[in-house]
Amino acid sequence: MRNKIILKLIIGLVIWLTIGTIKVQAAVTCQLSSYPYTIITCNLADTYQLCLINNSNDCCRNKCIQDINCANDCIGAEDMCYKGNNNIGNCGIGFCGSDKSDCCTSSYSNWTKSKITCVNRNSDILNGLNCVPQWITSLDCSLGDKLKNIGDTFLYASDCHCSILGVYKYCCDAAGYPEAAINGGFLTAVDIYRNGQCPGGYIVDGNRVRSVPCTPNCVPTNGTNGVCGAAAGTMHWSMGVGTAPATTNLITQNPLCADGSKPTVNTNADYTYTWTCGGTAGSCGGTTGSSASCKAYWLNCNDLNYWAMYPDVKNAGWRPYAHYQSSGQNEGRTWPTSGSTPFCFESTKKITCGNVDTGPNDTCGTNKAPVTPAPVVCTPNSCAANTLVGQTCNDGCGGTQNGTKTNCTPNQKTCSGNILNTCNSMGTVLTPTTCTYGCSNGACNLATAKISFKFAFAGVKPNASCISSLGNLKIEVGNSPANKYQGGLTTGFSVIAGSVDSAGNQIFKTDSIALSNDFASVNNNNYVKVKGLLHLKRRMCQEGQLTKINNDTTICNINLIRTDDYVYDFSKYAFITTDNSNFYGLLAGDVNSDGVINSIDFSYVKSRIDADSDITCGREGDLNADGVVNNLDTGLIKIALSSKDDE
Amino acid sequence: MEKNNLIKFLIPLIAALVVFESIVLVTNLDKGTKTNTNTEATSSATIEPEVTITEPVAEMIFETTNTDMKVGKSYKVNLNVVAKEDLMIDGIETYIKYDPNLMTISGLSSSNKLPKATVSKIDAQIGIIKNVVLIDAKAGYELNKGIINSVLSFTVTPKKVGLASFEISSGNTDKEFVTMMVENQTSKQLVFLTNKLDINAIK
Repeated sequence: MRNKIILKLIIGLVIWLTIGTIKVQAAVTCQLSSYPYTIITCNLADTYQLCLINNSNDCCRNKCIQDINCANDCIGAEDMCYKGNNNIGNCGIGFCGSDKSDCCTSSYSNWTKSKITCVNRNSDILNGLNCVPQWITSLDCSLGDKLKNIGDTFLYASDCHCSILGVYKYCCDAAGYPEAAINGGFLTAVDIYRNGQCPGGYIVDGNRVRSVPCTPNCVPTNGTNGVCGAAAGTMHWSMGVGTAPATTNLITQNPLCADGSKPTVNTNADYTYTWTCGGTAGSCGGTTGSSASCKAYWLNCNDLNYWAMYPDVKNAGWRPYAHYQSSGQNEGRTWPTSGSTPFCFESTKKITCGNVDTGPNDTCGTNKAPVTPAPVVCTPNSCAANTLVGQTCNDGCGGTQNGTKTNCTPNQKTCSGNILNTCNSMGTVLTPTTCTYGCSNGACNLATAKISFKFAFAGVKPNASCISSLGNLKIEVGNSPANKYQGGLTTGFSVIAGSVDSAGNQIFKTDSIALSNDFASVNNNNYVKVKGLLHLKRRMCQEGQLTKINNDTTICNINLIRTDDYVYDFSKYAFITTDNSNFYGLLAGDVNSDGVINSIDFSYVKSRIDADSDITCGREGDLNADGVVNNLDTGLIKIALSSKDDE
Repeated sequence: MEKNNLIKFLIPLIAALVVFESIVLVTNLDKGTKTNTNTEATSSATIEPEVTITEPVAEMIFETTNTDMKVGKSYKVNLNVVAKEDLMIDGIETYIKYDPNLMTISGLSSSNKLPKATVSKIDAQIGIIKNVVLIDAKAGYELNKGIINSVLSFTVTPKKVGLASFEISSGNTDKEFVTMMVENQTSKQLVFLTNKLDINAIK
């Protein structure tokens, strides 16, 4: 009996020890508490402790972390990848895609953002997840541009919590008018705003995608750029002699502008009437027709007869009686006498009436038929004899002549200085054209795009020992409206003797840098980005530019096709420091050429300081080209630190 | 006699059982840990094994007395750095992001133990606190292991009720704002830990 009891005790002991083992295994947990000091409550082997997670010496933290395999914490902050932005860090330079592997590719997926996060968070510990640092790709929220309402012509910036941060992009059409953004739909259910994109792209370029509200590229001017409608001349008038018709009676069948709008009718003191059409959105800059071709003359039949007698007057655009009074009578021309002359009208149909006209419309009255001007006789083989402007002479002069006969080789083009002379197909007329860029081999020369400019390097003085060892400049040129860009240009430069900027820095000059022909036909809205070997890239946009300017609102004035070898002056460029003083010249200090001046550059230059060394050109860290690395060089970096990055 | 024999038998038996269970217990503890690791690795589908983790050598820590802050009242926030090993640095560039719509920042001050800051500025337009300290001394500035070094301090005044945060900028959105500590010997960035300071603005 006693043996049985002892045996039961032994079995019970074995069971107790086994359960005890399981219990100890399940007791390892950690909890997160308040901030900023993250407090862990360790519940290990039934022992409770409080400790600071940020104190690496804390035994509790070490114990907790050790027990749940938290060997490493998260490194640095989140490493994100943004659509459309260049990325740095683990992704390298590239564009963002839908997952980390896309970060370094040159393409990106529409409407996606990738948030690559290095995670080892305390919340993971709470949730029982592995806290070994890991990459997590989040797709539950887009950092792309946001469209709040369909039809909006602007986009909002977004943050990683899917909220919108205010308007920052405006979509504009090719003419500069607001344009509805493209609706990209919702990314996920938690993404409460739609993704969007401008039809013209997603990068702010000042053209189709702007950071300021859209405005037309040019404003239509009433009556100047308007387009007259084809209905001009189909009018019915009914007025008495010498009485200016009321505007409302002028037109019973309204002429319309080309775009269907009603023109503005102007009544002039001399009984002429013009109507003008204003341009509308999108037709800005149209040159088809003008108000001049829509002019209506309120003429009587004597006027028309005068024109019929002297077609050169009509074709030269003279008002009949005005011509007679000013010069016609002195030339021996006569004014027709027809007695009573009710009105008839000349419109673009150019109808000529007889002596009496009582018709109230655009045809001659019932008593008179239209008169056809008598043909004008040409003198054979002598255009000079034909003084009638616009008359057709079939006598061998060929086509419409202006009274000048020129013998030349048909269709031949010849240069005479800057004049290109083109002979017509009959060999009778030589038409001169002035060539802007000179004439050679029977053709106008094309424009040649090039640029020369002056500039200075910060800290490089005229007496610098190594002034000739500054390397080459890197150049980029662009024209935003025309979407033209040329990069990868390098050029040398030369000292302009005796020329320094306001800080005493030596001024240098580049000489006629040849550019792509793409720039031979663009406007002056060009920019030039200039970068020295150890310097930040600076964007020059205007002659005599003084400092950094707003790319979105400033119109550049750099003419790349000047023919006078003009040298633009960028030597006045200065960086405005935090205490509002000017620091002239291209900022120096980007020794590792990563486009930023920062502590790394400072440390690099500092490590090469050897103020007592001999002057040697080409020393690493010698920013002012004096052949020595010293505190002057680190001083240049300190000043540049407030500006920091490339433009 | 029979009783004595039983005791003579039981004592070694129990001792042997205790030794056996102890071995089993320790072995199971190890196994339990390993199993746990494997399970977690299996369940974490997003782990990308090719990522190389560099061991951080310092931590950058926000410090404040209270994370519940009343609107209109001012609170001081410190930013400290603690090295995990002795370090010599040439510079500390600090960029702290915040929401200027939610709070006002003032009184930015660099630590007087560090050299005077080359740049010390609050940019309320874009919500960035900038502080750049460069060390002119050839050997750099020493951060001793485990010692709390003040980097800067500033004053926060909440404008609105709600949650707000301060975050050390890593330069992901703008390469101009990369918070970094640069080592004297290598002129390279040091890897460090950082954290976000969340505050709750209340009435």
